[in-house]
Amino acid sequence: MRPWAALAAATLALLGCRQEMTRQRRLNTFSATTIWRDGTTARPLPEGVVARGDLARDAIAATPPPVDAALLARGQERYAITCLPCHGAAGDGDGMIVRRGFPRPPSYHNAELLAAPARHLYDVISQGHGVMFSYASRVAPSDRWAITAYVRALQLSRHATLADAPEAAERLP
Amino acid sequence: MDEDLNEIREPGHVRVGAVLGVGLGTILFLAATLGLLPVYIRWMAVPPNAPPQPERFPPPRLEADPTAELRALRAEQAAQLEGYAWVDRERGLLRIPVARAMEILAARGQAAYAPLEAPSP
Repeated sequence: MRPWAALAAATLALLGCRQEMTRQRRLNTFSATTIWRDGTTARPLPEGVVARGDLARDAIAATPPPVDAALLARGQERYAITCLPCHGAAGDGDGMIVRRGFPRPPSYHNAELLAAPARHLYDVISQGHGVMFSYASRVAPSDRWAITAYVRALQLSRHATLADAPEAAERLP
Repeated sequence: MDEDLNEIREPGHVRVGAVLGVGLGTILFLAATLGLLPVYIRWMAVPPNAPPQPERFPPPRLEADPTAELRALRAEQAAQLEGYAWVDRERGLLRIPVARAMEILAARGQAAYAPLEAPSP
């Protein structure tokens, strides 16, 4: 009879448990409270707080890096990864995603974007524009400048003059 | 036990007029419905019963061979990045290879970011 007695004792001991671990004195997320004056448990960030690395990113965003072959090559690579699926290899806005029915982005070769300052292109990558969402979390600030420079190269490839590329004279039809 | 002499009993005769009225009324109603139905259909412009005509619908927009289509698109777009051609002969605008455009921009330094056209007023 000893095992039965042990089982009975254990059952009685379990019945005596109180569910204190699941019922705690705490504030639930987004619930109302009277502890703080704004009446919510969600705490705003203290004034002046920035995310780690924000100041460095802002500094890169403020000053475009000098354009050289390495930056343009980096921009070409990043453009092919991030932008080409919608904007197309030449920037006409006819990438594969567009062919499948996504709204067509404007061509880089229209007058408006040819006249747009580089800061505008940078800001569109950072914040999005129209149906394009923000690429801030996918493209680092230095890469945004690289892509901006490469977009200028794409524009120049359709907007060059004989003064820019004198070797073209003998290759033109 | 006393019988209740005031209890309501079924009358001994049939009201022929009511029976005939219901029957004839039903027939009249049916006849009127059948007669007025064509008028109603014509008034509502409901087409007469006819079997539905076969109609052509567009084929499904599926990618039967995504790999080949992407390869074709890449080849087509890679060709756009190459070669020399006139874009606008009057304004002297050229198409040049992107690699050459990158060389030109790299030589320009910081001025490479400048817009290629003046903003239109």
